[in-house]
Amino acid sequence: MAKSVTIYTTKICGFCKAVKSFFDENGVEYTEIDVGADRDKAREMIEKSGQMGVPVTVIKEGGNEELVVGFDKQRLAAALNIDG
Amino acid sequence: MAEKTELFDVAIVGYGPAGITAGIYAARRRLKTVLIGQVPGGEVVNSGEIENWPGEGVTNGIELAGKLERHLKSHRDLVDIAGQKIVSGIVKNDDKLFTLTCDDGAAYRAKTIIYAAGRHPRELKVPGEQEFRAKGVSYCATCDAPLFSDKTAAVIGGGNTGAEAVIMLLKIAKKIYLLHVNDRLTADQILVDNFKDEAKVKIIYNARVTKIAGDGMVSRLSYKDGKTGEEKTLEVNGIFVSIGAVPNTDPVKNLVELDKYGAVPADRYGRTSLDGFFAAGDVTDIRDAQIVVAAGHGCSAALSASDYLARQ
Repeated sequence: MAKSVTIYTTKICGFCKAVKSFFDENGVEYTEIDVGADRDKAREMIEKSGQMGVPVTVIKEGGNEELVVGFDKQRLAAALNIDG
Repeated sequence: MAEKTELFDVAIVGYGPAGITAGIYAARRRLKTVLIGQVPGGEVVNSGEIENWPGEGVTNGIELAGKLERHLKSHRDLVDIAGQKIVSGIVKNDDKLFTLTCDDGAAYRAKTIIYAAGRHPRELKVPGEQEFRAKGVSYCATCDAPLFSDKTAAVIGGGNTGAEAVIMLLKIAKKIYLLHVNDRLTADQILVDNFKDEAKVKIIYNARVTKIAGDGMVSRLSYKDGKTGEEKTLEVNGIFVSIGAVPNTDPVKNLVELDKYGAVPADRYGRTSLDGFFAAGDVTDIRDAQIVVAAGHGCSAALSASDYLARQ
């Protein structure tokens, strides 16, 4: 089943960049949402993740959603079958 | 993860300006090098606007980190970069060689070490701090300030990092409190001038945070007034902690004697009390935790390592 990846980020967040670089290096496609620019999306991120830190990565597969907060390389690799 | 049994001339711990500069100099001395670190650029990526890196005028953390990373990567023929890893322990064996182990199980062997692991933000250590971490309590204004649009934020700590957090929040938050522990901010005046006369900023001197509380997310903080002894409360949606940083020396606490702040004592050439073990940047007892100082220290540490190897 195809997985869709969304990352909630802010513009000058170093860990957000680390997640994006990790995905770029491993050919993972993703959509980026700037929660600094979009307050509705900021609220959505806070409600989904129960916290206010960025980055928040949401991996959707069918009806399932997995959330990874921060640059958690091991969890992201496991969720996306990346050979770290 | 497979154990790397190849022997490196130098193993650099840390991917910040000290580690990266050490890597560049080690490569130019033709030393077989491995650099083990987490995020390229280290704390530089969280620095927001940078106006004091010589030659750049005004730049930002992400740009500068990118330049440092690219420069190091131009030496990939001699420098192996083991990225997104954290070194958890270092030992010196009987044969004078060092073994480094990482949190994911990977191991490396090297003749010399340049320990440039930097620092992590100091915590307030008050009730509620852990509970509300990432629920309004942040240690990185550059990352999280944008989420406090039209809200009330408190910045704890009136040094440069705190002052920069206030400046960042000026365009975002509705109201900003800056709490400082004594009656004189330590931030550069050029930064303080940006907000000292702003109506939405209130600087509270002689304030020591005692408690953080809320309901789901942070909603208030309590502090003690150092002059009157009174306990006061502020209604806030976010708290940015910028009260300094603690050296990342857990992995080496049994390897070298640390100073009373937990830092690795190192001279200006990056030499420590242990032969073959060099250290550079914010993880040492260096006086000035500045990007350019860390880079210079990393350079000297690499040259020291190179000289040490030549004499073995």
